[in-house]
Amino acid sequence: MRIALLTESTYSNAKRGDSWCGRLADGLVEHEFQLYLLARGARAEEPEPGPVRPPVRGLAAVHELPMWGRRPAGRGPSAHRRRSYRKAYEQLVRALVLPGERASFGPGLYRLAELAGADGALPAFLASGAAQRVLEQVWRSPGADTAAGQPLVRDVLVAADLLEQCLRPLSADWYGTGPGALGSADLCHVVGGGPAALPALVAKQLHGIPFVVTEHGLHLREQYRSYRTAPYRWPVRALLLTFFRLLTEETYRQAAVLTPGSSYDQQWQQRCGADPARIRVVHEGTPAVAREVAGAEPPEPALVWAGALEPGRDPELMLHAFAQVRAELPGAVLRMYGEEGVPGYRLHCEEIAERLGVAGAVTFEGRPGTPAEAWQAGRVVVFSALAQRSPRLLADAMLSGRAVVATDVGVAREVVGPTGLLVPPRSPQALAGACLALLGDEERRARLGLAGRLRAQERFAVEPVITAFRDIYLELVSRWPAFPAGAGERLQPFARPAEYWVAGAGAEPEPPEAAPDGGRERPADDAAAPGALAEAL
Amino acid sequence: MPGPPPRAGAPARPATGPPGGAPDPATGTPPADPVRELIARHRAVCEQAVDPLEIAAALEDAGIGAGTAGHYRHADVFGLAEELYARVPRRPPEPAPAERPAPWARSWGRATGAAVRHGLPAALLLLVGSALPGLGRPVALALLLLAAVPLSRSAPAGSRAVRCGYGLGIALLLAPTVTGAGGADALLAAVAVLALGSAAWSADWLRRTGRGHLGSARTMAEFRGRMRPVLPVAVLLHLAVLAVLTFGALAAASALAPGPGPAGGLLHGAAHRAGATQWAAQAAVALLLVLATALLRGEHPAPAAVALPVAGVAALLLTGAFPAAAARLAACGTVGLLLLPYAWVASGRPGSYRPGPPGRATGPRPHGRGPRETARGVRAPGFREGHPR
Repeated sequence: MRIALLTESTYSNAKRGDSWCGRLADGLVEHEFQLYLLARGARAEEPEPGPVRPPVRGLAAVHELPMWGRRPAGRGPSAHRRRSYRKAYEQLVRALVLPGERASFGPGLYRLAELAGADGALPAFLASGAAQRVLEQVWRSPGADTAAGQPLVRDVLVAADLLEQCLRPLSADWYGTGPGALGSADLCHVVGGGPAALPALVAKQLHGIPFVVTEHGLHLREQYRSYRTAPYRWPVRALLLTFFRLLTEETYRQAAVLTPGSSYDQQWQQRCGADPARIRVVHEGTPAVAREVAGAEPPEPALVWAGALEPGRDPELMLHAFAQVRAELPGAVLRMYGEEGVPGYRLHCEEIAERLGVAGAVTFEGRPGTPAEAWQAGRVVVFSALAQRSPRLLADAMLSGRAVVATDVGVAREVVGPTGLLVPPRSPQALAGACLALLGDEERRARLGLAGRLRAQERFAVEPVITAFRDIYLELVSRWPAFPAGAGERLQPFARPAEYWVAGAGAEPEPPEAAPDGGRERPADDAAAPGALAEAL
Repeated sequence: MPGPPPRAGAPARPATGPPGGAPDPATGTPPADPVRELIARHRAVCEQAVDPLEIAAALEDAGIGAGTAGHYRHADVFGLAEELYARVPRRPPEPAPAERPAPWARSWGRATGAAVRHGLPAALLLLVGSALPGLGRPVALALLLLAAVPLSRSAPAGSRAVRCGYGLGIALLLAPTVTGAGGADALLAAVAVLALGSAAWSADWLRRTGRGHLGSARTMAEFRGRMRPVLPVAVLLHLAVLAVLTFGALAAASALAPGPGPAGGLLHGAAHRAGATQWAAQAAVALLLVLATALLRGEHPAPAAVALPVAGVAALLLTGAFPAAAARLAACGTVGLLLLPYAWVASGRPGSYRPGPPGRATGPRPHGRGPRETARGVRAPGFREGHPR
């Protein structure tokens, strides 16, 4: 099967073998993966510190499109096409600005994609004065949502620029059915959501390619969080966040399968209109499951806290709770691992420790060499965060075999489950009580630690992820019409058995003439997919 | 296997805990409207929210999850967020402090820098030109091309081609200083180039004004209306400065080397050194230079980079048939008058005042890291080795 992996990442990150995409491609060698990368950041190939990453074996090709930053050079549309561009853009902007016309988002988007595919003039058009005038006119029309502020001229310019950057994937040269284009893939796999889903949406619209969306940490939620501190005025923020919300809703509506990384994310996806029947939670696998269990406990009753030093991780709660632990158990020490997330926050924490009179027993260790080192240093691992959006750190701590105490927020309940202690957030008494209970009971500590390690090994291993996606891919293409229907044809599900799509990894490519019936349905792809056709014989 | 998650200790109000403790359902009767306290705590977020999901994200960041939402009589945090969104009216944010105008020192410094960078080659050419014996055109041509190199580096902005065009154009306008066209003409050309400092200041002022109006005008039509008189004023300012400079230079020249004819006062001598044609030519050159500088600073460097060399070449070609001053007047005047309407229209376009170098896109983003750079900042720094994506 030919699978197009779509993701947004930095240049160096996405091509590494130990990235999520790399592990997937390495695990499913029977499929041919092509990576379509919306590249963030500069192209500069700076050598990375540390060991050289293994290259990804399974990736057949990498296609890149620079996102953000400078607009790609190019001419605007010709005069007679500019009218169609304006109409399509107006349709899109009306959906963003007028609450009553949200439904025109999809049609406007696809129309723009169609136009951009024909002449590639979209970026220049979006940056032009014509597009700005359309935006201003719609934004200032009656009925526009400007509850907390009218747009100024500056806002129109900024919003037009940001929209141009977000819509850049529409003008990628990935569409079509030639070799290496999205139209020749059997399915698309979007990793990360957001603008990375745009090419998949367009490919589905143009070529009928189904797509899967995998999200670890929701793109939309991160947008809401980061735009809160962005230096944009309210109207720009409202316009852009509406764009991301409508894009996410359209993505969830069109996606064949959604695979969030946790049921916490699943709730958000359902809130954004995803059909629960099409959601399958696939936990993010981590290679750390192969790690040895942490060694002997330290001689002193030590607590380990880990995470970035920032208000969201609430190290203050940990310090307050530790002061109470210390009152009961004078020998206790606290080791805090992690770098500053907010400048000056470490000093703030040190002052609090000083004020509580526990400065002598608290050490700020900074960034550990490896996470395992941090877990090793304590008897109990404590997480006091106000929000726990990603299961990574919790799972890593559980894999060490140490008992875990966590605040009951975000993913903590489903990750830790019955194998650790959950306490309400912002409650030093509860946290201190849980820590004391574990520090004073070695047998319980060992039992919970072992149970936690087994639970994390079961849920966060890499192999189940590979198996899950092997099944999802096959199930998907077997349900999907084998080939996109032409104008007068009827869609024919089950036209090919699922095995048809398993292109033999080592199969010798055969000349296209050898395929007796493949040429009729997909003439353009014969040369591109000899493996798939050979398998069909 | 251990049993269900034991909740260690009852959730109780922290005595010395961090601010904003959760409401306590255990003690006494619960408040009639528990959400009211939540509204008070998150008022700013609720007033600025664009939709309920934004409030939900903020609530989750503040530690309110599905479990805590029950205290507020909601099944999940989304329902709670919708209640907050419905109960708190949207409120326009405090008007942001107006963009702090660039300190005057910087603007003046830039103008002085431009004057020095252009003045040095001009003065050098003037000195060499007056000392140049009738060696003829090859030497003059070589000198001009040499002068074009430092001048091209002082172009305000743009690509390599734009810089080349700019340097060549200015060097060609300096041609009278080396071709021996006459004392006054050479002096006037040098002064016109020296006055690029003033042109730079005018262009800066135009840009500052435009960016100020960007943040206060409500529609593009209003912006255009406000910008209509700005370019003419900038041009007039530059012309006035150049007139003063020219007159000063002429006066200085007549003080140093009194001309023939009846001895008069300094002013008399200065007035006699240049005729009406020469003054008109000087005004035409000034018009061309200030428009070109303004366009280069804006988003339209290409026409400026073309106009300058075209005017210079035309002036050189016409010098054979007409007196030098008349040739300059004809060439620079024509090109300048053609450029004027274009620059005037361009100065009314909001797109000409983007912050940052032209084409680098994206509006004001003072913090360097835009939302998308921070959007993925979901991982705890220090713990990335075990969790690469």
